[in-house]
Amino acid sequence: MSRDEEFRAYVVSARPGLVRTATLLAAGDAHLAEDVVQTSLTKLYVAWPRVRREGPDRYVRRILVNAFTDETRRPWRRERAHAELPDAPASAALSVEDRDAVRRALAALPPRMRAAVVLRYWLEMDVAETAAALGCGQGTVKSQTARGLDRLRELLGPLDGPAPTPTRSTS
Amino acid sequence: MTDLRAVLGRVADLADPAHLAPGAADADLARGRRALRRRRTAQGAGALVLVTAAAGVVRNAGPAAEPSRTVAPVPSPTVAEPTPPASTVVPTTPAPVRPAVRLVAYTGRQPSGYTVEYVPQGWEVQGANAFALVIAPKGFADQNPDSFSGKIVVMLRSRDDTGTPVGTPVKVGSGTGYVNRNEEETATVLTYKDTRGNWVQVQVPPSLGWSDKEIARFGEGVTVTRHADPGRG
Repeated sequence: MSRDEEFRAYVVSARPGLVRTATLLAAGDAHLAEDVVQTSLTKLYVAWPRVRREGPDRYVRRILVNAFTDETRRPWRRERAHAELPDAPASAALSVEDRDAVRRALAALPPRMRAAVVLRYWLEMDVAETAAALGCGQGTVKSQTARGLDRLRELLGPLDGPAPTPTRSTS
Repeated sequence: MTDLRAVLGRVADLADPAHLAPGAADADLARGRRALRRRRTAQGAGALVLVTAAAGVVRNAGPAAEPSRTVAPVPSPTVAEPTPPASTVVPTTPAPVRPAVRLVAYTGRQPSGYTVEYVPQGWEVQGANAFALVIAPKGFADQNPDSFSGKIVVMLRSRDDTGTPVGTPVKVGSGTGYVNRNEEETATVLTYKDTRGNWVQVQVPPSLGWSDKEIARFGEGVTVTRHADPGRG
């Protein structure tokens, strides 16, 4: 199979999951999510001969998180973060109010804290994998995840996950 | 009690269905191919990979700034650490991949554009000018400092190369570098920003057997001086 055929086959199978993960990282902003996925898959194609041997999933997750944090640093993204989020598509199964509340709660987390929560609880990556994807230490992953959960619980009520951390004063 | 994953799923469902369709993969492939073509064009115009000659042409900053092509080989360094006897095999062609060649302290005369703390054991600074530092095995058959095949080359990234580096991230000092291997696996390039904000590129041959971390370790010992010039192309 040629490089193009391999890459395309991988993207067809992996893209839906990547888009959903990116949508979480972007707290529901579908445009930002698509930008992040496109950037990541472009980099994946360029690196394909090497990455295909290691397994592309781990590589693309790391690239996805890096692309997301890079995007959040761009000036026009920072302005957009303070503006109204795009309208959510309607869903018959869930109330719009519920979805908006969750989206706002996720958006309230700083980008890397949000990424730690998404990698740990959506992708169900372990602490070591999450640390590698975020380019930080495992202790940082644990503290960012715990703070993220605490914040989500403050905003959304009880969540089925690890017990909340003791309250600490922060300066 | 609400399940966290179910909660997250509500936001994941906001994904645009058009972005989930198989047709999107064709656009991804087209973008990837364009990016690869751009990278190959940039590399072919004068970055590092296996440039064998005419380095002065691609790195010339302008008609009034023809760089000196006379590169004086720096005397062989004195190895500061006690080491086992060097191999008596003098490579005449790039060697196949083998266990990593050890880094040793460099104590020879430092070139003007780039200084180094370490060199691979049994290697020497073969040549240097404002545009490139070239390190090769002692006695290497190819003594042309403008020829990079099988050698370590340190350069600044071209002024015309302004894109975001791609590659495998690796820690270099307090920052992050990016490692790229060419498709033919004949050279590896580390690109990183040093503490002074210079984008530095280090090309190493597979004969060194270095991992990304070992390449980064070498890069941490490189200092770009004010005499270095990134050139164009």
